[in-house]
Amino acid sequence: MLHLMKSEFIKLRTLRSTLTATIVLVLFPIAVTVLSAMFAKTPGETMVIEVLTNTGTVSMLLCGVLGVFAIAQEYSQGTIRITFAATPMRMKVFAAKTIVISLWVATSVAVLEGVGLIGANYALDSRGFDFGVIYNPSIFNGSSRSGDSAWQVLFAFGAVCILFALVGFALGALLRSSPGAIATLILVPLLVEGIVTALLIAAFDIDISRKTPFTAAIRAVQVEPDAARWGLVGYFAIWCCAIAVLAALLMKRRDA
Amino acid sequence: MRVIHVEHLTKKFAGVTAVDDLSFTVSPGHVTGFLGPNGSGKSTTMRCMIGLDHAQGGSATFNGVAYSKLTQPLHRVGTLLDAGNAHSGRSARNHLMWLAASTGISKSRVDAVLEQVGLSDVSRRRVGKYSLGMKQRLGIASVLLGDPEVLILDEPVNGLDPEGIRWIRDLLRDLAKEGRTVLVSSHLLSEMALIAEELVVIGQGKLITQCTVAEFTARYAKQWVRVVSPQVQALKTLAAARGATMSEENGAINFYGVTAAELGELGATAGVTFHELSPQTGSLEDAFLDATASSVQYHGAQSEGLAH
Repeated sequence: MLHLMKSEFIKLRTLRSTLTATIVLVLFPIAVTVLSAMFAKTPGETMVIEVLTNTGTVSMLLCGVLGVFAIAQEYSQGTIRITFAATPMRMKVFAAKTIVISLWVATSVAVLEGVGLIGANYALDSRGFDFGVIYNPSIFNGSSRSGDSAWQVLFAFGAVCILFALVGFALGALLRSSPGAIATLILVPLLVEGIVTALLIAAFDIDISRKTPFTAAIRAVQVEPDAARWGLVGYFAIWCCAIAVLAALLMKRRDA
Repeated sequence: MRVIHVEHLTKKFAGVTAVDDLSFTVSPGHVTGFLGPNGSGKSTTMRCMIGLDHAQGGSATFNGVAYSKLTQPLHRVGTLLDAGNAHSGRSARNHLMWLAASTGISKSRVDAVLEQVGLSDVSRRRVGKYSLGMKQRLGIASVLLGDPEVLILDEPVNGLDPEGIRWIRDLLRDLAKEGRTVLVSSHLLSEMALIAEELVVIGQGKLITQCTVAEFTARYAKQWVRVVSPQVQALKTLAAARGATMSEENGAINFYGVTAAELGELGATAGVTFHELSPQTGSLEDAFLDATASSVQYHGAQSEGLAH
């Protein structure tokens, strides 16, 4: 398994597309967070974390794109045949890819959050503001109404990013096409869930707005979520796992 | 012994049978050619053999073991199915690096096979910048990476220049001489005649024959006798009485259905002088076309038809 994971890691690190997506997903929230800390009129711990996770929505989607790249490019470029010929046990390939992309995303998000907070701290420090989160992330110094610690927001954000990578990977394995999987990954949370919710309300007076998985993921990383944070993460995780199980079964059964 | 056994292999795509109850054996020590017209099921058979496509029936085993059950298959069976199966944005070296890493093969082995296939100088160039011939060499490098006992190659000479074709011909022969089992598909029959000693010929997914190249040519290639003689008319009359057919070619007469010995004896009894009396055998290409004539799935238009 370690050999396979090393192989999958080499695949990820030797492509410009994955490196570019990783750099953007890390740098974009950092840049916006630090700029906000530099220029915001009323900066504070809550604002910094909010900016980091809200701009991190782009990072979540890019984590999904990385997941798509990890498998769909293998199908489009034909390397999946070499991969399966070298390792006929396809579930081992699926597991190795899942672990490596999760670790890759987890590391990227850790860098994003760490550098983002340190950068915001320096920016606030230079303006004479005290940024408590950097020294004690378990408290928001009373500025959070939900009572959740900064750690919880940051961990939830990391978990959701990993789940986005997992669902991207699963969609890539199902659709075997990077454009198709990326389009699905972006359109479902940004457009489809909203349209379906609106249609159901209009036609049947049924409100599923609190049950749509991607919306749940985005709600889970709010500083002040409207439901139990880890319940929302768990709900999104169930959806992701269901899609991943379907993708794994089909990967095993379909011709390569 | 590193024998490939394919037994009653059957593969259907949406109701269309691509491989139909196909059985053959490939033995070590010589190159076995896998011949068939376009769409005859060669590539599908190869994909089924290594478990990339799931066969509806039958089996393919390597020394009695199914590919999916092989431990570290890269060390047992090297396969080249399509030279284009490499990410265009990755360098050749990195392509081999991830493949090697998947079964714990060392970096030094990667460098060795790059050297062996002549890609060392361009190994850090992206595969997308490679010519088809260079991609073929990279594909062959990936086959050699695990130093396998069995090699399965689908159209390995496609895109290679004459020097490259000679190189792969010598390489495959040398590998076979070392006692490895080598199965090579190709539609370049002239090339197959030079590389292979044994043939597996299929058409529309079914086995047509498995035999040596010499046997195949003898069985399927046309045989005739070429005669040049000033008294050819008399010979034609005598041969026709024996049921022979004839055709004219550049001043010579080709006799079909009689042997050179029979024509010589006929000529001797009639006082015919021969300037040439030579038995002729059609090429492997002719034999292949004759053997697979009834199973060609995709015909080209005849030149007369194109003229209209």
